[in-house]
Amino acid sequence: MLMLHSNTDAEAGLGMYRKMSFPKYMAVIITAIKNTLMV
Amino acid sequence: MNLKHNTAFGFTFSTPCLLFALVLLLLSIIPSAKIISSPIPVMASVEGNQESDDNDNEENTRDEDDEDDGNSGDDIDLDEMNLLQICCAWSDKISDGVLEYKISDGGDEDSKQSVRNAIQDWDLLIDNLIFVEKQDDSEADVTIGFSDSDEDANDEEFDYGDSIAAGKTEFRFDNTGFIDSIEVTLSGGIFGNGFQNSELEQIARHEIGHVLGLGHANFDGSLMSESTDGGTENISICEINGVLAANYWRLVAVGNNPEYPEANFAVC
Repeated sequence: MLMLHSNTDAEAGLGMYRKMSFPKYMAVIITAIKNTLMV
Repeated sequence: MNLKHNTAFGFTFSTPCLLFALVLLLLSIIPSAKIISSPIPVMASVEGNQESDDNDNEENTRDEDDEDDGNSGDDIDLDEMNLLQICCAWSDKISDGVLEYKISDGGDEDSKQSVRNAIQDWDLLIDNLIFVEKQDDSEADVTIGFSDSDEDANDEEFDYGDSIAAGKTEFRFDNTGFIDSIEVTLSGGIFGNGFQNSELEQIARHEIGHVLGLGHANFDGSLMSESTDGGTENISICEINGVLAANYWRLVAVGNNPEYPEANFAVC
């Protein structure tokens, strides 16, 4: 098994939940889809 | 009174249409947002580069903040979700849309080409940012090196017991908490285990994910999983979402002023 490491691993902290603002979320999704389709 | 036309967004809406659209919008906001964020600036924990022993304290702090913020009512079991950590954002070094990298000497030409292939895979999928390889001796934003020395094998950061340490990404942040430079070390065969070029390419693809602001996935089968059994995971839409959310200010908004990531996880 290979372990893959970065020095930010320790900031996992799964104790919170809050949504990204909807306009930014939609912008991310649309940009990701656009980027994927352009390949 | 009927609202006959609303052309603010270039469309024509009647009142029922407008109400229906608003209902759809609200429904889509509440259950399905796929990117979640920390109630505290994510960089606050990054700047300290805390070791895992500190995680309990960190989580407690965040839980308290979460309750103060009124978000404890979400009742979402994060342990059952496939999550990809969003770590951090680049500084204004990428405000020109260029991320300079340098492959240091130490690997053979095939190994270097594997790294270039991995970078090209990301480059094709991330718009508004291009990777440029520097050939001279000047500083680059990202330095990628190879190691096959026993010195690294004895490094605590490579010590995973029976497992093989394959890659390492070290962040350096500026005084405002944005990524200033990164050093990636790929194993050319420490512990006496050499890697095939395809394996090295995947390891490099994973480490470049870190370079672009991702942390680890909490599930197997992802490119950003903490460990791999030699699979050939590719870059998925989840990793792309994560990178865009991490560096939203440049990759989506195409701005000039760095902003901290609003989200700290993407749901895959």
